[in-house]
Order: sequence, then C-alpha cells, then structure tokens
Amino acid sequence: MKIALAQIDPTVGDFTGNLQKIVAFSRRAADSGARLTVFSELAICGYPPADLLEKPSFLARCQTAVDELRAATFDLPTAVLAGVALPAGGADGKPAFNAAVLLDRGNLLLEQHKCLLPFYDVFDEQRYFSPSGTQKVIDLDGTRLAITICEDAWNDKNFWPRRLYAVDPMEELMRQSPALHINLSSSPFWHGKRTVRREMLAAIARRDKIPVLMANQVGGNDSLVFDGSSLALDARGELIAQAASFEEDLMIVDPFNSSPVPLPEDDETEAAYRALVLGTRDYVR
Amino acid sequence: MVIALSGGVDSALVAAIATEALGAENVTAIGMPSPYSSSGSIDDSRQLVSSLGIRFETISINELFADFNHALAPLFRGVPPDTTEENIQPRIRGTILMALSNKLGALVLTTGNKSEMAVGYCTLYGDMVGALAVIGDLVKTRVYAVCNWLNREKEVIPAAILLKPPSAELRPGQMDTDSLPPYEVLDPIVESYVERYETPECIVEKHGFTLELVQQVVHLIERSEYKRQQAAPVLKVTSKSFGMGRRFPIAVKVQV
Repeated sequence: MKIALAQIDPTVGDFTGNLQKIVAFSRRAADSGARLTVFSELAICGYPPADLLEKPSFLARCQTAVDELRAATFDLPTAVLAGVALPAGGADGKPAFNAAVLLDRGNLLLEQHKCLLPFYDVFDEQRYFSPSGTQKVIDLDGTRLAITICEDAWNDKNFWPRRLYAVDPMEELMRQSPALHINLSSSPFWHGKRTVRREMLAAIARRDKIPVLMANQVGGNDSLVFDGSSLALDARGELIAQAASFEEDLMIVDPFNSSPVPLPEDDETEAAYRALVLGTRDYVR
Repeated sequence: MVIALSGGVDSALVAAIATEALGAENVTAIGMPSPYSSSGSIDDSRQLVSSLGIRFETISINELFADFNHALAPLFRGVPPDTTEENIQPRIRGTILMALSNKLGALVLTTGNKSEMAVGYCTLYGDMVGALAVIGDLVKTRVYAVCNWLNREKEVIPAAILLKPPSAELRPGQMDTDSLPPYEVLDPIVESYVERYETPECIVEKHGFTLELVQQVVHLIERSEYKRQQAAPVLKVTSKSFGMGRRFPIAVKVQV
C-alpha cells in the first residue's frame, strides 16, 4: 500500500488557503498512486489556534471545512486523513476535540480524537480540548490502521524516564491488532528535536513491531516554527524515509516494502538558521 | 521590513535572515549613528548591505540626542550622566524605526539576542521595539556560530563585523564586557539557568565559575522579567525560549 505523507504549511484560520493546499496535495498523491494521504495535526484550521477555539464560529467553520474537503476529494482514489478541531460540548466543559478525520470517496470512515493533551512549555491543549475516550483501529482495504495524534505517541513508558500521563493510548490500539501506526503531528522545532522524534518513534515501532508513519506540520506560527521532517519507520524501527525540513514536501512511501536508508545528519546550526528564515517569512506573509 | 543596523553581529544576522526570508527588495536597513558610534559601525554596515543587496539609509541622531539632553538639563542639573543618557539613544532610534514602519507599512524586526534578553542588556522602548524578535532565542555565541555557518562558502557577513569586540556604543569606548562577563562565560550560565533550571551551585560545579559571578548573572536574569514580558514575540529554537512557553512572575522575591 502506497501512502503519502503530505507536509503542508497551513496558516491558522485560513480555511480557504489550507483546504486548497490539502486538495492540491491529495490530487498529487493520488496521481502518484497513493491509497491514503496523511496531513498533519489540525492541518485544516492550522496549529495552534489558541483561544480561537473558544469561539463557536471558529469551530463551526471547522465543521463546514470538513464537508468542503469531503466534497472536493470524493472523486479521488486516495483517502484523506487530516487534523481539524471539532466542537465537543462534553461534561468537562472544554469546547473542542483535537480530531483527525479519515475521508474516503466522500465518506467519513473515522473521527479519532486526541487522547493525550500536552500542557507544558508552549503547549496549552488542556485549556481547550476534551480528551478522547476510546481509540479505534480502522480498516482500509484490509490494512488495519492505528491513528494517533502527536502527543498520543509520546508516552512510551520504556522510552521516557518520567511519563507525563497515566495512560498510553497505543496500548488500547495494539489490543486491536493494527498493521500500521499513523501519527498526525504539529511538533515544533527546537535544537535536537528531530533526533529525539526519530529515536522515540523508532522505539515505538520496535515495541509494537509495526511500521510508524508521522506527518508533521511545517511553517511558522508566531513564536513557533514547525520543521516538518515527516518520518517513515519500518517495523524494526529503521528509517525508510524522512521528508524535507523547513519546507513543504509530499513523501510517498510503502511502509511494508521499503529498505532502510541512512540516518540524516542533523546540522543544528544550519537548522537554527533555516528555522529563523521560515519563522520570519511566515510571520510577515 | 525595517531593520536597524548597528554594525554589530546581531543586526547583521537579522538582516541576512530577513533578506533570505522575504527577498532583498522587501528589506530596508537603517544606520543611526551617534557621537559614540565607531567609524566601523557605518562602514561595516555599508559592506553588509552591499553583500545582501538591500536598501540602506542613514540618519544621524546627534542633534536629536543633543535636543533631549538640552530639554532634560533643568531636571538633571547636578546629576552626572549615567545609563539614563545611554538609554535615550536607543529610544531615539526606536522612534525613528517606528516612524519608518508607519510610513513604509513595514514591520520592524528587533535584533536582540537571548544573552541580552536574559540579563536585560537591552532598552525598553528602544532597541526592543519591533514586531518580531528574530534571534531572541540564540545566545550570543550561537549568533556567531550561525554567522560563521552562513559564511562557510562566501562572505555574507563581513569579517570585520565578526572580529570586532561586542559593544553597545552608547558611551565613549564602551564594551559589553564593562557590564557583563564575556559571552563564553555568560552563555553557559544563561543556558543552564534558563533552559535547564539548574541552581547556581550546580552551574558552579559544572563550569568552574565563581559562585559570586553566577549569582550576579542570576540576579540580572531575575530582575529583567518585566522587560521580557513587554518584548516582541521570540522565534523559538531551543527547548526553553523567552515568551509564551516560559511563564514567571514579575513582582517576586526569588530566593533559590
């Protein structure tokens, strides 16, 4: 199965522009034979929307954007998996879910919510989002997919000396025997982060013995710069592909039939420069 | 975008980043020499703007500075010149920058680095004005490292800018090391204290600096919080940058 990791640079709140990118990248992925095109966390509304999530009108626009995306991609042979905020209205009083929607030929196959909501450093997701109650594996053409959103994959008790959350949503997903782990991320850049991300996801691939694909956001949003560097790792945790850093990219991989590639050497001085260029460009645009 | 060029390494790097980010045609640099500016401050800036291909204007602040001093003289009679007069200079420059920003419809990029922002070696409503602190998460030694990386194939940032000792040029012969430890000493303290929450004792043990020196730097860091909370947003490139992800009280008596 060919899968496209679509690493786009969305702008927070620019639903029209973001949808145009998502549709254009989906078409390119379909032309390359991808059966599934994966976008980053909150790709439809941009990450992080912060207090925009407290506005009902913003969440309503998110919902209509999903309908627009469904209509714009129903004729494509690729399914589209993209992140979006959706209204919650649950008992905890939080306004939204941090969701991933899987659309295939005009049908909504799955709406998976994020379970682990980061609340440290620049992250404030518990201010807005209600956590997912259950994790559900979804079947696409006979391939069972475990879909997680960013932090959901960052709580491996073997990898981290001190875990931030009591539960690991991957444990619930693994009980449903998935063949592939797909993670939608908006993981910002900082010094050394690309190496950490690669090592952590490799540890999860080895633990679960299934390949891991991670589509990350790219671009600047105020103080944050997202580096992209989307990843594909095989079931032994070996790198099979890594997307460009600090630019948009469309990476097509077959997670079950690919050979390992050498690990890239992360030059952190060059990365700092490119991060600042991208952050400046996207701030001013 | 508008950038004030001092002839120093920070503004040179911000100008290079802005030029790559938005194209030379969208960057205006301005030199604003004072009586204390070295001849290099304008000459080196000229060399830089010719390397980057960006527009460069100069406005002397001599008369404006004299006017301020004259106007304030009755209030300051009998009080010797101090940081007050030094700070008037960047505040004049800040006003000129914001005038250009208004007239050109262009954002000001502020040029302070993380070392300065940490210890408060920057002037509120002066060199801190601007819409984005482009290198506010790079300590000074990393600013040099990025400049040297940029120069790896051809000289983008003139060597003279990288070789001169850092100076704010706000009084005759002033050097950063008059007020601060050398950056080779300051930066590890800033990184340890700000990014890793290490105690002064732990920093002393790790780096071999005296406890007195480390405590002086920590004191400067703590008392500058009110400045940082009024600063432009900082582009984050380390695990702990100043801004939204680092929330400390301002009115506090820190005893750790």
